[in-house]
Amino acid sequence: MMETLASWLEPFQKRRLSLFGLCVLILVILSAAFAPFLSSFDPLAMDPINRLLSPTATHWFGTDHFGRDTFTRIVYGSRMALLIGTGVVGFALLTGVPIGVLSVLFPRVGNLMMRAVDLLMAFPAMLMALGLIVILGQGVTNAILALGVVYLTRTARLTYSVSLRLKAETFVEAGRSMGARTWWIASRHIVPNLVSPLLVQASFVFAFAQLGAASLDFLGLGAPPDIPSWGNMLAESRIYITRAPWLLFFPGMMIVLTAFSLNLVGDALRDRLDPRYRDEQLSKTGKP
Amino acid sequence: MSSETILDVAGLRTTFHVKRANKKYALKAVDNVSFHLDKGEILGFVGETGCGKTTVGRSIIKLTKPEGGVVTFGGNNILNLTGRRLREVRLKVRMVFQDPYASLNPRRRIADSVAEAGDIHKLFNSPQDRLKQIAETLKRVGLDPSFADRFPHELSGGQRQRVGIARALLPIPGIIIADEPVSALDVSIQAQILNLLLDLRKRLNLAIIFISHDLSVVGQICDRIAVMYLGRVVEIGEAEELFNRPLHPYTQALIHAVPKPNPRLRIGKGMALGEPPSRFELKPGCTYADRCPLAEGVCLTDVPEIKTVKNAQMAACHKL
Amino acid sequence: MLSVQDLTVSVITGKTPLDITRNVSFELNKGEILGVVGESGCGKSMTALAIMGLLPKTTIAVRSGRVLLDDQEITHLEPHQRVDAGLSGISMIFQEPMTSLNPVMQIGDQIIEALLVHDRGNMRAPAARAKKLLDLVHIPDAAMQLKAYPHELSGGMRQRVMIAIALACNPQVLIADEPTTALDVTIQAEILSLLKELCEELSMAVLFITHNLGVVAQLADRVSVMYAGQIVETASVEVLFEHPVHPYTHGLFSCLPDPTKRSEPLQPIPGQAPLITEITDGCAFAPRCKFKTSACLSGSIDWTGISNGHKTRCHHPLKEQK
Repeated sequence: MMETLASWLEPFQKRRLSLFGLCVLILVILSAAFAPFLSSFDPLAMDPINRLLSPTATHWFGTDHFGRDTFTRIVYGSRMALLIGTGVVGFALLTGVPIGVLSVLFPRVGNLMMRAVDLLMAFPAMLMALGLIVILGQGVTNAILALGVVYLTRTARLTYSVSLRLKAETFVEAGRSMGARTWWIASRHIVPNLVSPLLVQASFVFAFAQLGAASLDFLGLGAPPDIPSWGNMLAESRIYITRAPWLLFFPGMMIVLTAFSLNLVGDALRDRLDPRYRDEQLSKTGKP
Repeated sequence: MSSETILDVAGLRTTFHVKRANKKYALKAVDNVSFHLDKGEILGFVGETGCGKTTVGRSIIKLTKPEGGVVTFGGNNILNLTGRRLREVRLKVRMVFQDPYASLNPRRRIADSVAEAGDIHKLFNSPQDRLKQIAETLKRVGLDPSFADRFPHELSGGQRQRVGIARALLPIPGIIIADEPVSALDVSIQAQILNLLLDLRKRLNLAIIFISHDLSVVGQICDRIAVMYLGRVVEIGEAEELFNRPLHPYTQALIHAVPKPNPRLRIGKGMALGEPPSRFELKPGCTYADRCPLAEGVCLTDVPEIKTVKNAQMAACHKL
Repeated sequence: MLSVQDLTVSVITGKTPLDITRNVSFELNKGEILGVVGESGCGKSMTALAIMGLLPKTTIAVRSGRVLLDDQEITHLEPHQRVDAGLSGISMIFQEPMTSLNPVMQIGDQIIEALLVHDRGNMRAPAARAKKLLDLVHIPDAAMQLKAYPHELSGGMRQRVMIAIALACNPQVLIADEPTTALDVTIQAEILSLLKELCEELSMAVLFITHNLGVVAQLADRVSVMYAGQIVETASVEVLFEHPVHPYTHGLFSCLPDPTKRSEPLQPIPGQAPLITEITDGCAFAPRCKFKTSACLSGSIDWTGISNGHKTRCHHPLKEQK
């Protein structure tokens, strides 16, 4: 167990920047979990006297046009960020993986399904998300659904290409030669081997979901305005950009930082999965 | 066909439909191949790249769907079976593959790979029974039962190929189709695996179809050998006879071309065979005609049928 | 002509360097074919890459030893530096010709490219010279084949093209790394006789690397057997095949399938070759050797002379005839 953990942490030692990304993500997760303990303010409590304050010792990130504490709202906003990210990744995996795997195992239907996925990919991501919101209506769930549909194309395509390669592997052939049914091949041979590439892909989808959700919020099509989310904060404060630039700086920084960190962690995960392959090569030939 | 015959193949034909440069070709990978296999016998299929030897093995259990022919096993024609009956046949006719690195799922433990056929067909009474049978099978192929918990990447090439063989032995089949089982291994390991196959044949009375491009290996362990050239069996017979007195000009050339590990037996010049013809556009007549020093007249027009030349040795050549 | 002295190639990424080859030494004379035999991972290909100056020097490098071509040291020269210094007398061909040829370039252009690199663009009528090279390696319709793309040729023809490209720089030494392993036996026989012929005609030396003892017997004048990064036995081909003295060499012979001796069971070498991470002090073959004594388990094993030109790294060389 400890060994497994150590092997996952190893690429982070080599990539200092990814280690930084991992720390940022852990901080975001911790702040989402312990939001009420991190700040004595209420994210929704208005305080008209103290509106548009610049950062001070009490209000670390200043206050907004209703006098709400920006730091507190950033901390609570991380909950929404994680919810959207998890939701979108979950949706993209739950739909994309079956589409990809089934398309490989049943090529006739599969060709049709993959062409449909290609069609979805032809739309610009944001445009399609907006279109879906228009159909589904505004709200957090619908934002997750809309972004999920956009990004299921990525998971489906990746699943499809990896499964296609796996299907040609000798061990799949061996299974078939012993009388295995399609379901057996899918559950024992294909899906387990998809875990690593999908893990990496998931981290990138998570990052894109952050950006997508922020954009939807900014356009007023995502989370309702009373919920503190980083995108909403940007949208509400945009008219104060000259008077109180910190109102945009801090949520903007969090969006960029989180997405960037996720990408860095994704890179490191990819490293973790590559060396294992290299180790295998080493034991195979004795050559590095 | 004797009473000891376990598998009888007659007129097996497998065609691949391929597209090259916008032209459709019907590639005859296996063309009218007939042979029989006795209990406890090792029958070798030997030939060069693309001669169809692998496709013969795969066609027998319908991994590649043949176009015609009859494969008799256990009183049935396998080629007519589908669904559950076909899956049951696949339990009794098992395959061992060439590449011990690619043939094991890297994410599954050795135990799961070895027990796969049993799991698929729900043959184990209890988890204890499963473990017991896995341990027994591993011992059979000369591996310590403790290997069960390992993953393929922790094993060497030779050990992996032993696992590949173990996977084909649970439950014990009647026939093993071994497709180039030692080609990816070093000589010292290759000999270990060959001895293991010989030993298993003796202990379990297995019939083995041994497919290889390596004539020395086939000559060493097989009882009978079938030589294939461009989809056809050109010669089939007892290994010793075939090796010492090859009939077909192609068999002769093949045996001659094997580099002998003896510096005093060097291949002289002037035996150049040239390149094999394109498999896409075969000319009429004997497929070997344009490389054959004896080819003339009838060889260029008629396909030679395989016929008994002496005792049990059969060859497909007009000149015999 | 080519002299390799105590060549040690190591993986240098870890804290302590891991040796892939240890103290590999041999001489290669004009017009001679030296066969290097060994199983996968024994370091034979790394030795070849080190001689060519093709090691990825940041991860794997020559840690000690020298490579001399005509008494000039070339150990640490990059291939382009060798061209500049006029020491480009070594060419190499590989196992899989398809991966060494550019798939989107006509083979004529690829040969011309090789010609121009070595003549630094001074050559007149390179196309005619390219055709001559294809004739030299017996490619029929050479003029037409110059326009062919690699995928239009068979494996044997591609290997001939690779040899033609290797000959473009008029090499004194040709290193052939398993050049026939991917080919069918009938084609292999032709490539082998081509190499033999070129070696005689151009009085070129050939370093022939293979795992196949049969191929070595067919082609080589002298043979070196490698095991776990070391040469363990060197002799003329007749002597080595007649009277191998190292237990490993002997073991290799006794596990060769031989259809003329079907009744005699194969005698495999027990166990398996060590990984480079597992090599310990003493003789690397000792764990698999039935003649080992305590002396074999420590220190380095020095050469023992058997007869003129026949030597082995073994404390207990075999005496009886094979």
